[in-house]
Amino acid sequence: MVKRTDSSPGSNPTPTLRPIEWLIAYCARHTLLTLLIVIAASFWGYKSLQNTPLDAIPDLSDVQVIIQTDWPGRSPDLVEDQITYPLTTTLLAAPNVKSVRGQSFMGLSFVYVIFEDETDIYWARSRVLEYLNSALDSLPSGVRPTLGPDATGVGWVYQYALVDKSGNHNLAELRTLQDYKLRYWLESVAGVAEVASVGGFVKEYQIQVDPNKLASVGIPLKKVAEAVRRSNGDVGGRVLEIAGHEQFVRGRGYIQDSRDLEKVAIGLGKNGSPIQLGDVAVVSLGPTMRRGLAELDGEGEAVGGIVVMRYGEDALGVIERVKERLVEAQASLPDGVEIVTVYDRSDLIKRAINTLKQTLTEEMIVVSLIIMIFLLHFRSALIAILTLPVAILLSFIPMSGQNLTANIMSLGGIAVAIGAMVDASIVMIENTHKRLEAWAKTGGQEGRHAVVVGAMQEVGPSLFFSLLIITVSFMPVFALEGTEGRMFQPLAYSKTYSMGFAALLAITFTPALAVLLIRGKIRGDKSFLNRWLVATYLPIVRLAVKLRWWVVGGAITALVATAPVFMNLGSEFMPPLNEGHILYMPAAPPGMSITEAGKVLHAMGKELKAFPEVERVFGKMGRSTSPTDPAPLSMAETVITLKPKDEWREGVTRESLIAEMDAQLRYPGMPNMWWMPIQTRTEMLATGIRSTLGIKIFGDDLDGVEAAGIRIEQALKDDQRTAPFTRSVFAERISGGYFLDFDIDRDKIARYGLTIADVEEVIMVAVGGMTISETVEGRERYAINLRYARDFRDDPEALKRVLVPTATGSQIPLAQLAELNFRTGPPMLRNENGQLVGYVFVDVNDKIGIADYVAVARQVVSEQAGVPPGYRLDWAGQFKYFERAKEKLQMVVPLTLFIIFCMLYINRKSVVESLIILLAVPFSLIGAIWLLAWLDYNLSVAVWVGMIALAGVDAAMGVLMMLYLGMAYRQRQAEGRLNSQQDLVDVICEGAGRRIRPMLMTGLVLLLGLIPILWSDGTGADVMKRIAAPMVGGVASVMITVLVLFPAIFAIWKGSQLHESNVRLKSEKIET
Amino acid sequence: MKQSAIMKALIVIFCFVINANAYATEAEFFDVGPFKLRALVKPEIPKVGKNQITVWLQDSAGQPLTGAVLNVVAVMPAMGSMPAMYAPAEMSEDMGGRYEGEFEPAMGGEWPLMIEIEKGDEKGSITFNLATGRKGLQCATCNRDGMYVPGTVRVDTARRQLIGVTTAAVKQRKLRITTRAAGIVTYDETRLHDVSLKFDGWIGELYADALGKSVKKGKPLFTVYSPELLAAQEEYLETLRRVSNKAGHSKQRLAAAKRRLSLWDLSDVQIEALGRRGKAQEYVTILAATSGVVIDKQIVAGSAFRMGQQVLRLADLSQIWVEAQLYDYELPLIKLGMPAKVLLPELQGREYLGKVDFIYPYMESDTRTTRARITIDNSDGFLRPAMYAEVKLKAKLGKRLVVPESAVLYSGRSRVVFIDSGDGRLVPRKIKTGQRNRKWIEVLEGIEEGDIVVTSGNFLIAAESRLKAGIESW
Repeated sequence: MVKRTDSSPGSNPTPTLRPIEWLIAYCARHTLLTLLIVIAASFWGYKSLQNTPLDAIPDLSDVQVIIQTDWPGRSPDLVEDQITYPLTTTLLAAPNVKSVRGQSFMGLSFVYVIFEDETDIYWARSRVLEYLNSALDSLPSGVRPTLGPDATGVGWVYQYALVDKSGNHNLAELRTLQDYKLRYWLESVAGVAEVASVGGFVKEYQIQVDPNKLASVGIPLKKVAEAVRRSNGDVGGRVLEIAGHEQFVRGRGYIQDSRDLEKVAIGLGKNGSPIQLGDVAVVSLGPTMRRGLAELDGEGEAVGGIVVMRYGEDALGVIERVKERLVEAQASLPDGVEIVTVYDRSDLIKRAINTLKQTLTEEMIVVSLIIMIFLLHFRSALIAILTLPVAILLSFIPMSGQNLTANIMSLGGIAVAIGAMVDASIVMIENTHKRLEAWAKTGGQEGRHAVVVGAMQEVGPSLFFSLLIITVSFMPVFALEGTEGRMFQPLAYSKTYSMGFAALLAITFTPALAVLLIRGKIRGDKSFLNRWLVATYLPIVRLAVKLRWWVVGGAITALVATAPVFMNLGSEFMPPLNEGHILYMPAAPPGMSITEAGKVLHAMGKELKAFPEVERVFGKMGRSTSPTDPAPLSMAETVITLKPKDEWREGVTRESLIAEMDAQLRYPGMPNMWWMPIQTRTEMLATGIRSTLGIKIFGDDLDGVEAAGIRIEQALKDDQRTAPFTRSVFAERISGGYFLDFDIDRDKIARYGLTIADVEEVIMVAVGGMTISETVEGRERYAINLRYARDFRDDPEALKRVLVPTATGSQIPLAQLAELNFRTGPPMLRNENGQLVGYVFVDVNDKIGIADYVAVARQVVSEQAGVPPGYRLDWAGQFKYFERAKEKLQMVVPLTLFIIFCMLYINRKSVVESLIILLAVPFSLIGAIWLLAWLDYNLSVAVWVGMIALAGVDAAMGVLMMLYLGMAYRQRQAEGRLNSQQDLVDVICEGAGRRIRPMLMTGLVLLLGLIPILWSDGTGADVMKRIAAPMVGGVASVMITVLVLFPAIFAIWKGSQLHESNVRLKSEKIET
Repeated sequence: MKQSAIMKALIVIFCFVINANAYATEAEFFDVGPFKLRALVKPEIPKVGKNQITVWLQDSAGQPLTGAVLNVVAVMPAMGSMPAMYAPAEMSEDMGGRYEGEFEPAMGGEWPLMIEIEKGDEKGSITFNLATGRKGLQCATCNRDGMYVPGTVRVDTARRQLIGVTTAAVKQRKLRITTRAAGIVTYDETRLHDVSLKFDGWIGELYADALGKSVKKGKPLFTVYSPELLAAQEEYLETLRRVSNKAGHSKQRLAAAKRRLSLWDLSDVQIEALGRRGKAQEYVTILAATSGVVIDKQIVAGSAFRMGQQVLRLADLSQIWVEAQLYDYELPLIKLGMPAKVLLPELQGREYLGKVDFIYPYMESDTRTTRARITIDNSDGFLRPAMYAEVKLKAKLGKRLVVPESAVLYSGRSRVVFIDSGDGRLVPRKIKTGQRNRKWIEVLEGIEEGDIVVTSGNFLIAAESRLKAGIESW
């Protein structure tokens, strides 16, 4: 099968084989073995691919454990003091904890324990539990913190709404169905961490006491609560033996309905008649206090369910399993009840993967076409084309080993690598063609096999190196930390793996295939296209060499001219990812009531549904039961599902649709925000200071923190040292929450022999209502709530009359014990590492470096602002990340450049040559930046990643050019025909001109291979476009650099050498 | 179907035309405090990333204003736990009265743009609506005459309807404040009657033999045997006999004997009957001096009683008292003669109207309340003493300037209303409030009669106002 006879590695001109050349020869010789190994590995890769979990984008969240603690009805500051503070301080000490953040809302505390990256989430959770145990003692009695699910907000993969169009079931029944049936059915699906409920009404028994009647019978509220508590329960009395049988003894007393409650005896009248709860109160079933609601299609309130996926799970798989379970569940739902899907991430995942698959396919086709056109030899083209899928498959082996998900980023990594992946194969094949042609012309003695192997060995090592350079040059991306790190590391991995495998395949698989497939008539580079290319290019090279200084000058000018364009690019945190769904997220300042929220949400849903492109509108306002959802009541999150694009009105695009919606939906006080679900949850997770520079003020007293903030604001604004550099500074004003305070007068209550607790208990129970017990009705459990009847507590005047029982039996109205004051205050408290924190946002102009500014500002603040003792400042903000990144990059970039340089040096054996090759990097940026400016892209991490990827490609292209120039030069030198300037020009024309084909091929493959990314507008394309754009622009400019500038520089370099040697020659001549 | 599509298209086009108009007018100068200002952003549709803002300033005379200090910042308000974000622009003057700068929103969404101008001692500020992806700038805080009022909100009629904004005029109204108090039905103290006898004795037959028994005036209550009474009867009869024999001074004695009997609660009829009979009765019937109900009874048939002992208490229930229990802080509003409504929520919601007849000049120490009395006619006997009632006392405060209760926003110590100043603009106004009832709140200062205030949907209006007012937030 394989001609092994006429091949021998000995035919190689160098007698001592370097390992790469040896490998090329070996693989060329053992074709079958190589192919078998490749096929086996590919199969493994295919299996790995199948096992790879799929998701849309990588989970960007920190390793964090959420602790949610409910303490109903308490104000944020109370929650902070009693719960958040003790919890955060305890958890700070846990091992591997990076930071602990707390948020205290009304009746609710969230503590986020953030662990060092790479900490195992389950390990982290057990640590949190351990420490929580010791914290429990310091919490108020009856308060029990719960651990959030092993998931984050990004794990919200599927949402549904329960509707009943038949009208047989009310919202409370639907919510019961969701809470006690569906939720458990779905939570048992593998991969589901939590199923949260939102909207509808949670039933509870409400005992609405008439305080006047209670006063008339002389029974304090406390006694009522006690009586109810003692009237609800089942007990067991072991067994009784009767006639050899054992009979279980039970005491039955669970409250079953409101009538049971009405019959609870709360005391005895003077003449011994029982006073029952029904005599002094109205008992009814009603909704508990709601902190969230849901709405479907503007048709009215609905009950919603949110499926939260476990951390690091296969999103697509989870969703599919959930859907299967829902189909089963549908059959067991009561008549008329329907489950409506309102958000399904699997669409997005499928679409994103499809977009990338399509892009990958297009890229492969483009690449194949270019190879075909240039080589005009199908079987040779096949070699390069086969390498691609094999390399891609192989890259999945380590990826699945690392448990990396296949997502937009990791597939994107492959997409941006494709052009570069075939480079080596192309060049090797091209060189083979050239050599074979020469061999056929001269009728060389060695066998065809030897020629093929020789040709490959000639360029192979350099190419292997250049591919390695591309691989290595991507190292800085691994150095990214935090969110960016999590975002781009999958891309870095997949790109590195596919490049690495492409490099490996280039020296193993390609030689083996080349031996097999490069047969028949080789047209060489005498094709029409090639002749035309050479004819066009040669005059350009000649001119470039002739006007070498002008060319260099021009290049430098172009580089300088690019600087202002670069400065003008904006920046953004993350490029948008078109997720398909729209998340309409207007938020009002805090303090919105549930009634108002419901009204607004309904109106919004109606307006949105009226758009013909809208399939479904699911509105949520406030929070669901999930600890991953800290949304306040004033924030709407409306998921809009759009119809398929072909059903849209003509000329409507996503952007124009959003613009239209934006114009239509204007709710005063609720700034519009049109985002997308995953993006939103990701952004929301990234808490902390978003501006470049911020000052965190830590303290124990909120007023003090705020005052310090305002003093700092003033100091930075007014001081002569900072004023010229401060563009703006804002201290956070913490207010927006509305409070109605009962300021209890100790003198007054003393007169009645009351304690503070006596009064507060009444405020708590009478005004706020208190859950005093819980009924057990089969599987369902409902709270029993005790409260004053509405009339007696629903306006400030009524509140004044809330009665407090005294020891003497008289009941005193609150107004006589406390002063009623309306106040504003913080609706939410932030706590970081155990201390309250306030922010000052600073924006610095570009006349000063941030680090310098911080140094000056520190001094100004310490001298002028007078931060009180016990308060601590922290200079934070994005600049910290920049600083950190800078610090890291200051290490990594030079290191990378050094490694590249070393590799270049090992390969080229010349310092100057290596330096010239590195020159390609800055010049490539010209095209990159102009293209970015033209496309109106902002600078973002994605763009930077593209630029980093570009650097490697630049070096690879440079290596190629220098390889050809060097080859021609050395050949000429060996022939001794390098004596004059004209000789040098000839060498350059020969090296560059004759090698225009491989140069253009690799360049075009890189360039055009990326074009499908720029074209594509499918889901997920936006992020990829940002990475690809600098690469496309950069490759275009690097091609010009390499093809025009390099010959000029080469001429200058070798020209001076030539001059020296000529001088030497001349002087030698004179001496002789 | 088709028609509606055409209609929609027309509406869309119409909207664009309106928008375009709005945009054209925006490039005009706005009055900002003592200055005039014109502002433009580039690109016209602001984006995430760098945007240019150009501001032209004029002084009040319309001359370009140079050397002003501009403070320009776009703010994305805080959302949930995400703090607010700021995108400031550093403005530099590039030619007479024209200032330029760049600002960089970090995220898509609304970024209201606030501009503060300072020159010398003069200051002015204005807020524009600005959002990424939405064309142009709209002045958010301008009034019809271009005056800047911090926190002014503009909401058009359609939007108002959608979010349920309603308005009402501020007017003089009779303000009544209702105090709700717990009340107890009690006996009319003036209509209580004790039956006690002026002699020792024994009860014979008891007619008013049970508590609650109703007796009529002049009807027998019981019969008594008393040696003293017997002696008195005898004496009377003796005197009577003597008088019928002789005339003269004995007449006086007769009158004295009769008086004695009558003082001992024998009626004239009884005494006459005694005279006619001529024989003293052992058991004398005691008649009810008033109608009423037996509410206290110390005797049964055959009981002995002592002189002066209360044996029965009768209460006339045809008129009863309701005593409202008032706490200290409620007293200032309570006036003698004010109308009162007595409600019996448990008893078919019966209502009685009355007025405050009396306010007790002392306080009950055990309940810490002062009682106010309302007298109510109870001829049908429906009201029973010791019933609990709810008393509503209406204090008439006369005409006061009032706004509906729902119009007033409580923001800490300040009370704010929104005034519709026409042209879709709603302006926040701080007011001082006085008395209030469930529906109305008295306004002491801040607004005038005839002003139109927002009465519902004001959460969103207030929110918008606070967003746009910036640091001058109310």
